[in-house]
Amino acid sequence: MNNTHGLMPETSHDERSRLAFIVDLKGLLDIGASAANAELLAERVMPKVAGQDDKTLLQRARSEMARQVPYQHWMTLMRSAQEMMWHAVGNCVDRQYEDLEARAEGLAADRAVRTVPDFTVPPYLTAVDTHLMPGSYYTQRSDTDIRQGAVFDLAAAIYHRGRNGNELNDIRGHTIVSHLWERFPELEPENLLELGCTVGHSTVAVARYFADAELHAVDIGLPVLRYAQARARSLGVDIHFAQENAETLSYPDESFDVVYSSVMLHETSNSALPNIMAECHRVLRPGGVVIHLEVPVRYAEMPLADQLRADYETYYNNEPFWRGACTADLVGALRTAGFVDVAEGYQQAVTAASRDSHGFSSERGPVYRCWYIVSGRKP
Amino acid sequence: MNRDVSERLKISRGEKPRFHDDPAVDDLMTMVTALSCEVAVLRERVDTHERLAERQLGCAPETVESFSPNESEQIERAQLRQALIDSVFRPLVAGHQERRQSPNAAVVDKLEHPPSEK
Repeated sequence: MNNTHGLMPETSHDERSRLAFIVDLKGLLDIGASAANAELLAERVMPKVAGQDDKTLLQRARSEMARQVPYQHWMTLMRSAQEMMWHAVGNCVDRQYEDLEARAEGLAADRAVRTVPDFTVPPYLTAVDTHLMPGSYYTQRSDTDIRQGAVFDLAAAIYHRGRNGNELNDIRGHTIVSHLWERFPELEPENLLELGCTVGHSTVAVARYFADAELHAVDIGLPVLRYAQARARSLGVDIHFAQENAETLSYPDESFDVVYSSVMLHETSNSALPNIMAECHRVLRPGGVVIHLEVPVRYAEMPLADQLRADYETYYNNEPFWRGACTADLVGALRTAGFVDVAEGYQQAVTAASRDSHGFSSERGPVYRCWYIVSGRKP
Repeated sequence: MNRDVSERLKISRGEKPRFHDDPAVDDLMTMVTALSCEVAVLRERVDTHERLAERQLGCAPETVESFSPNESEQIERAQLRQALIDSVFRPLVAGHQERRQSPNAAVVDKLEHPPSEK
């Protein structure tokens, strides 16, 4: 199977060099500098903040770390590297945009991406541009615009440094099916719904396991949905894409056997979560299953240094609900919505799901080698 | 394309944080990082030129563009890139350990004023 698709933007010699530098710099910041940050925390910060109120320890540690010059360097470089990535990818897409849109047009489905009249992008996505991507998922220049989809796709291909399935970026999709088969092996879904599909990275992977089923995928952003549709067509997969808000879906009650999401919840809010869980319950048939995959970052299980790292995402990488999602009681949220057999844990990441997987456990592994999942069944 | 949308696609919405006490330092570091990136791009282009020259293929722009390094060449280029990054950003990784060391003034003092013998 090819590890790319027919709509991926092309890169020139120098663009590849530029993106490779950015990726390697991010590697240094994430891995190379983490030991230095840990030493700084232990030697300069903990003596000042330890031994007092535990509830405010993270906040005090964050404030004191922010006064340390080497940490100020680290934060500045983290921010610069991320901004540089979007800038470089944006320029690459822009120089070939007409070509890209023509390719997408050639791949256009008979049906357009379904939209809802007077659609409003929810405030947790308009407050800031998620992960510093200028224009976010929804800014468009015309009603055929796919720019934000192309930018997101190319950035994702390099950002994950191959660890989510290279250019197809689909390991999370395979991992979701792996989880479904492990926890709910009897279910033979005929209709599935993905919430927050962006450009369809996980969606295409899931679709291939259920060739006879109907797969719907929704997102709030039209340019990423249009791109997703053309991308899926180039991969020979039929998916029904629509612009919808996961808090208020337009699907009738009991429309699906499986509803899932892939790293979507952390881009919502504490007021959205109960609505999303309630909608998952409403649109599922009795016996249907909900699966929410998230980043394997749970504050309660992590040392202070890792919590600080996650706080960087929350405050400075425009992921304002990162900490919120990583501390939320997602098991409780599903139970409140009426789900049973609710469980949370870590699913081993796989490039292909199999029926005899035993990859779900309470043991947290490194990111990309596992993903956090919470799932349940509608009685 | 109207200016608002154009700006929207260049600058991400949300607070631009200030990390250093002097905001000029943030900007300088950002510039140094971007400049290092361009140096890395140039260095890699030079590497392509040298490899093409070794094969006597000339280095017209189209030839450079179509150059595709094999696996071992990719590794060598990655090592070059990593060495550049390590060298430019050394204070990030080594800065704290370097600042941990004892003051030189104590050494100077000891050498100028050795302790008296008992």
